[in-house]
Amino acid sequence: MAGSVSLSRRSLLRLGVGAACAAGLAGPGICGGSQPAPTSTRPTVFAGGPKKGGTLRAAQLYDITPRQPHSISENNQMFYAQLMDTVVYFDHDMKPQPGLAESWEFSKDYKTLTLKLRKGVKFHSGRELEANDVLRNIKNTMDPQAGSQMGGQARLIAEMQTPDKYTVILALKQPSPSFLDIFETLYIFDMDSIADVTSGKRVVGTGPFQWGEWRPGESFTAKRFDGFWKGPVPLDGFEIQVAKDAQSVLVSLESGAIDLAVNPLEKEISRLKQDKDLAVLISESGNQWYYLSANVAAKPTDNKLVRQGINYAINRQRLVETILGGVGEATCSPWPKGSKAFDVEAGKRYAYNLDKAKALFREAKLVEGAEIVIQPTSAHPAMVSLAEMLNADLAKIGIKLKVETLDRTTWYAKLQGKQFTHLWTGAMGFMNMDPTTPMLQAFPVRVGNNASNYTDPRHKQLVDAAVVEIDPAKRKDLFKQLTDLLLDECFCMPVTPNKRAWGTRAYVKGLDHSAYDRVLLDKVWLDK
Amino acid sequence: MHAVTRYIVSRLLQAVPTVFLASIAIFLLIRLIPGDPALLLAGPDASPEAIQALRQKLGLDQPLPVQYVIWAGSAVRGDLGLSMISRYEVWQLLGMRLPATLELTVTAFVLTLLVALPLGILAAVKQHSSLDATVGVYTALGLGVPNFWLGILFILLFALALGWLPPQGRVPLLEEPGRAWRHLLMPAVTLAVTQSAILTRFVRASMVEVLYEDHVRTARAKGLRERVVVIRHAFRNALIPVVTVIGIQIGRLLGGAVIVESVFAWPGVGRMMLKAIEERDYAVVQGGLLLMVMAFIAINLLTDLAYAFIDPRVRPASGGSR
Repeated sequence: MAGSVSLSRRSLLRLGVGAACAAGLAGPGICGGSQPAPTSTRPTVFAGGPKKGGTLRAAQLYDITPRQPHSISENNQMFYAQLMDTVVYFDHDMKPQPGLAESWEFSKDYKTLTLKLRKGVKFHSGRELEANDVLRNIKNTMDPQAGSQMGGQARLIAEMQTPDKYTVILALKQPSPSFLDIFETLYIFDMDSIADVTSGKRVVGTGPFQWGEWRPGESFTAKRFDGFWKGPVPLDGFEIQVAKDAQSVLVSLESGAIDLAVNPLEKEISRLKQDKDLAVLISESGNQWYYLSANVAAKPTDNKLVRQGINYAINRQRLVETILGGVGEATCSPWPKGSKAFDVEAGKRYAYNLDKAKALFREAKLVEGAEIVIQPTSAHPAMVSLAEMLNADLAKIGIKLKVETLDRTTWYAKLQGKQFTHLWTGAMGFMNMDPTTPMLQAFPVRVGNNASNYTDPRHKQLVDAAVVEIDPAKRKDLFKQLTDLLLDECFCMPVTPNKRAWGTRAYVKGLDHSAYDRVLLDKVWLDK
Repeated sequence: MHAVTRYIVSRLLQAVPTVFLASIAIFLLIRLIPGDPALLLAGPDASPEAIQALRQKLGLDQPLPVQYVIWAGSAVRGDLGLSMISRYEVWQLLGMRLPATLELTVTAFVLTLLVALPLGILAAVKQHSSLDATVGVYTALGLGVPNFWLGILFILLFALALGWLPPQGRVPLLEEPGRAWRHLLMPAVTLAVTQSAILTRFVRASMVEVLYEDHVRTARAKGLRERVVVIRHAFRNALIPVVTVIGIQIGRLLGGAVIVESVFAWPGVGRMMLKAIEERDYAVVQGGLLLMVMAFIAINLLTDLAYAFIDPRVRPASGGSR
């Protein structure tokens, strides 16, 4: 593809590449047949010619942590998305699109998935990607010691075969029409150099940028990979600076010290939008949600009525309007509009009502003056504000809420140890994927081993049934029951979509994000 | 053995128990903060077995005294271990960050001296004048305003409002001096303001005291020029208590740099330490703090040696230490 420019994921969609898939063949997640090679057509977005060259300077709150390749962490979202590719990815309409695999096909019973890999894809090391590389990455994900959130889904695989260099056949233990979801977050590493990843020396993938230099706690730089399978991208490279707090990221953006601010504070977004020198990209994916959860193993939050009362006391509308500056939605349902489980009425069930909350507390025999502890983390300033709002509201009906704001590390340890006193707040992902995916992977809501210590057999039965169900109508009914269960039990109370945003200088063009809300730089160019 | 050499050796030996006690305090303090690094590293999907395996790998399954002996034993051999987060050697990380901290603290120290010595001397010589009053206002403000707040004000004014200086980050001074000073100016001034206010007060007080002493009056009576009286006869004598303060201030500069580095995202040791504390990166916190303690001890030793240079009366005599 000499002389050509990069073809982005969105461009692919615009051009209709993979349209056969997007047109909705047969059922969920299915996409048989070969896809046209996406590098064959120049996308219109570059018709005027993006300016080549330049280094994009970005800032985010967290340093990269490449030690655990297949574990999803906030730190690596931006970094991995530029250095790595996925076998299949989802577009903004949640339709699967060809990535490293140019086509895929499910068997009729959804128990076998065949992936046909693209030929001639090179790792940054120069070695060609082969089927065995995909197999080794999946194997690593299956290993419990890898700490991968996709582990539960990966372990549905009974057997893997690579009949030739470019074909991977996955035999599943049970039908799984949503199995493609795993690939949205499963990056393909060069497993030959995986020791360098775990020791933080370098990461080798097939993405548009390759490892430059990592100065731990300070910055990471990457440079363009000219052997990228879609052709070289416009930028020479990018730099991620580690900022001390969200405010300093904004100051850097506004003063021109950086070009891209990752996740600026929600309340500042409307101000950024008004600045003609800046631009804001807001994700409408519905992938991430803010939530308020309860430890069901501790009194008084072991009582469902208390949890329901808390849910009625959450003033989502006020949170969205004041704290989030309008960047959110007041809904108590966790499913975004494009989800198979979306139900607009379910989202209104716990509209703010302190009278109902008081009645439920009374019914639960929660004595007036009782103290409940809520533990937000300073890493989510909006949720700290929510805790304070809830504190003020509950005080009106005689319930004392003690707000204990934890630093990220302490909060994280409590989450993993399932040791929160009563209530806590956080953010969870996977909510725009198949509704069974978060139920298998997202720590706050997943079946069995969740952070709330919630272990109702009905939860498991519903998810198990939905995972293997092929009939879309039956699945829809199962999702409705699942939503009802979540809303009735209130062990995890969705608060509002946590819409990811990226603030840029106005000269940054072509910014996009993935379905999992990772910023994509493959078509970014600097118009200056 | 030369008296000065003997004195240095003796002071270094005295430092051994200090470092030992400090190492125990450093080791225990970081472990008092809640939060298990193994849990953080293992990820939310990790099984209890995986977390336990990671604890074993990191040596966190051992009793605390055993962990301390392993760490201290390695440190004595010059091995400060590996960062639990980045897996880089602690020495390597310190090597990356130390130039930035030295650049900042040395610049701030020079600025402190450039401001405090002339202001202190002038305020003392022109005691009770409007200049003295102005210096008094400066020192009051310098002492009263927290440096993190001053740093934020500087950023708002010089980076956001005026756009003259970059709000954060660093360019190495030796690589691109032209750009580097623009990055260095705000953090260095921020760090220097408090320190120069303290030092100005000490210089002024010390000078005022010396200016009323008999030998100064005698010098004036001899008809010496006022500049000679002030600099040669008064200032040199006033320096001894000032040097003590300067020694302490270098230590305070290192401490102050932790905050200032954080405000300006200056990639120094202080910022690295704060991040390491947040992430419970024990090896980095321990290694960094140990380095700071040793630096403080070395600065104190140099301060004591400086006394001897300034005042022959306090030089260690041959045949015995001071």
